[in-house]
Amino acid sequence: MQPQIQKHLVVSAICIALNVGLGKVSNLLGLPFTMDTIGTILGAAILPWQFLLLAAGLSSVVASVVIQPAFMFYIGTQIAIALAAVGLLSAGMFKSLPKAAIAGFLIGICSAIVSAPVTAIVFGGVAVPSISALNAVFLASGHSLWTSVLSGSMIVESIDKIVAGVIAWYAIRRLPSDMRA
Amino acid sequence: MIPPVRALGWTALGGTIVMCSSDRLVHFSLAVSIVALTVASTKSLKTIKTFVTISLPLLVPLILIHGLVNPQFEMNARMWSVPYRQEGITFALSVYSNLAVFLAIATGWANVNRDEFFDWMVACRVPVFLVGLVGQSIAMVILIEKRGRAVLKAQTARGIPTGPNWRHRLRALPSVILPVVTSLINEADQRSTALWSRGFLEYEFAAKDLPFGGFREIGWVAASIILPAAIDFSLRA
Amino acid sequence: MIRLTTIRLPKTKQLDHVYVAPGLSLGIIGPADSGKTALLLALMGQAVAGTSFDRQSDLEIVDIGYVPSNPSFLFSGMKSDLSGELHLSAQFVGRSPDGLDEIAHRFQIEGLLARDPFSLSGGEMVRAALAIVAAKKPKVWLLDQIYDWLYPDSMDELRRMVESELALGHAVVETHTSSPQWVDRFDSAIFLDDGGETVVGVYPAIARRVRNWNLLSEVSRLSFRFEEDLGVRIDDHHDTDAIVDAIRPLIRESAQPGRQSSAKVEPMVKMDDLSFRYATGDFALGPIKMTLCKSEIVAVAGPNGSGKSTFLQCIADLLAPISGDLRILGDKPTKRRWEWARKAFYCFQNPDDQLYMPTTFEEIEKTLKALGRPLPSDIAARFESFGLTPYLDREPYQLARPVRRMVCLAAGLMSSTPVILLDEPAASLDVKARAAIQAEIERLAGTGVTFLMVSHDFSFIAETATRILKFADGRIVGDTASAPWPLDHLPPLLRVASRLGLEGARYSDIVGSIRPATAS
Repeated sequence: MQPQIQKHLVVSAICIALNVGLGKVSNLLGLPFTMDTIGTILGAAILPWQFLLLAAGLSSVVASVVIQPAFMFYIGTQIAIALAAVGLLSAGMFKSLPKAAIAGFLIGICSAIVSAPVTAIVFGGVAVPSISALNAVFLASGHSLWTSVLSGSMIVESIDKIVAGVIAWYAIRRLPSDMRA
Repeated sequence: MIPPVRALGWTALGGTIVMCSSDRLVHFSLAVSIVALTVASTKSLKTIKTFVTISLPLLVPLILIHGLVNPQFEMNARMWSVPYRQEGITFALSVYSNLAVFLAIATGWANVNRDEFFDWMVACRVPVFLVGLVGQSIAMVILIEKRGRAVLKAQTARGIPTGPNWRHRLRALPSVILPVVTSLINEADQRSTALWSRGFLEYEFAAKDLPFGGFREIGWVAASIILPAAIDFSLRA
Repeated sequence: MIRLTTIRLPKTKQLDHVYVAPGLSLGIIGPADSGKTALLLALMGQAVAGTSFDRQSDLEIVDIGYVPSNPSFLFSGMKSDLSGELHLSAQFVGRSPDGLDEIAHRFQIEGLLARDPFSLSGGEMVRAALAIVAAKKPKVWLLDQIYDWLYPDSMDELRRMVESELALGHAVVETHTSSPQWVDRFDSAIFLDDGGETVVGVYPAIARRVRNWNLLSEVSRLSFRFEEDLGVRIDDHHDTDAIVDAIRPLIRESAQPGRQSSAKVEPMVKMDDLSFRYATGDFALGPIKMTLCKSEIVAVAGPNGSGKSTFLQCIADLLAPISGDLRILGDKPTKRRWEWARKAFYCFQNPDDQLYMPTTFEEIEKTLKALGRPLPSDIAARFESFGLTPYLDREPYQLARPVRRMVCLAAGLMSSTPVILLDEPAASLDVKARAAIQAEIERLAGTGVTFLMVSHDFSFIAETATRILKFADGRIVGDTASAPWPLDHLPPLLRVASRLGLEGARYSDIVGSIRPATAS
């Protein structure tokens, strides 16, 4: 196997591990952020698209083994985020801090839209506690299950992903020069 | 004895059939049986504890949301003078059945020894690079948590406020996350070289097949797959 | 077995050839970024950026065993215990798993086989990595700065394990940032000088040709220093007896042995029955009852896992003692641990745990701001003394490890805190950088700062410390209050001092004991 491919595999493993593990690091500070997209956004900056999609998909698999089994159902979400990250990076959205925050917000919206059907159909509107609570509020106010799940996810995911976008911006600036695209 | 990973595999297949079952009562009963089989396959009290800890927090909000709140179901029943939506409760139990089956299998899976997991992946002829990728990822998740603690300590030692309120903690977040991210990315080259030097990903594994569990395994397959499939098929017919 | 020719390394002039043969030991010695690792990887057939070479070899990758500077990079993560990793090593290369018990015994890891490799400590990790590599039965061993992690006793043990591979007819290539004490046992040594020159030959004969003293062994450095300062000629630069023979005739009869402590008697840190236990319950520290005074420079030494770093972290309030009292200048720690850093600043050994700002200058500024300290008025001179001026506007995490280390140390030494805790201050630094750190520690101690430092570097301790504590199993088992040198190994300077009848003397004390007509 060529050294370059081996390096891509190791970097993919790092990106997967960052997606899965950084949430725990954020929890050490008592913050509720999942940070489950920083690895994907970094991967979009440094990996070929094949390895990026592999890393994104396997992030859900590894998360379901290490954190919580429900993550397995969100493979589609991770892949959608990977594609969104590639698009946003190409559009220069991670070149400044305000743009990175907007990029994070857009990734959050994308994540919410793709996750909502899974949460509604498979989990009946119940996922992580914060989203569940918001979903209940929307349901009680007369919205349908689908609308409630979508609205709850959008609020929580966009806050989470804005923080992730900002951190990813910092991290991209610190990549070794030979790795930066 | 049936290798635990294979027993879990059979119950997972059975669970998939149950999740597609149409009749809610049969669905719920078969789900209970799959959950029981899954717990039995791991022979571990830890599985029961983990399953209950993860699934109950999902059951309660499901019942509350659909049994009390969801306006799409009629409020047509009472218990101890508290009105509730009966169809909503049935719906919640049906959704919970799917979740319970899935969670039981995944929880059983989470309690499978890491070594058995990789032996199973190799025995299933999963490409070596995928096996390695998953292995390195899981190892690095453990490392990230360890490093995160070390970085938090080091930044606290340097005087960076990591409390007491959320504003301070939010401002400290980059100082804790970035050293972890940067050091891992910078080490990628050296890691890759070290693993390559071991022959990692370079050579084919001699895959070891897991032993067949005899009549016990046949019985297991019958209970987890054939019986639910037969019951569901006959109900549809 | 492996022949490299027309080798070009980053920052080093072309090397004509390097040859590795069965039973041969080769040392590659050079400062950071001189290309030591690149040369090692070239022997494996891997070219890194800025390197080119022609390679002929009859060996495959299965025949070559590489142990990187961070041994944990070898762990695959596919097995939850070390025993599994050993079996995997044999499997990866299609070798039989026979003989793994013998390997475990040879590298003394029988007690570690059931443990998760990632949970191992420094010395254990190095032995585990060697065993993992040994499982594939290599013919050539490439060891990249693996001794840095180790206490001197562990270093000796490891060296014996490596020599057993030589006895089996295998080749061993080691890299070092300066010559180890066994440099004269290499069949050949390559010095990658930081002036771009390379020197190849057998030690100590080639020692005079190496212009950069940083690369020499401790004994050689001491020997050349005495030659320069005293105008004497020392015949063998790798033998303390030769130094003693050259200097003894010059010592004044009235020379006073020993060192004077400049420590004041005002207490700075008071510990009263301080005890700590980890939640897992498998290690306990203390109870420790002692007082550290202003201006003391206290070195804490002991084997890996003896509780030295735990002790320092308790003083820094990074670990909460389970009982006992700790006060600095009469104040006790509060719940706001980051504020205690203004009393006791802890400088961790791994610089990568702290560095994240865009430039080196901002990194140091960040630390001082966090402590509520202004930038020193002589900051440019301070940066110059630490050798950091060329790096101030560069990204600190992309610099070579010794420079990253220096950034963290510089921030700590500029912190103006009354107590400064240093974890391995001399590790990863070359001789010039160590001298700068030592000078700054002594200067600050003179102003009343108390230092507590963990170190495996006995020479640095001998040159710098005014008091030495020896730790074992979480307790203090030796103190200079009861014995001039409570540690097991005497560094070369103290061996020379002892033979000259000047127990515990520093270099400046020895030079000061020379008759006036001789000293330069």
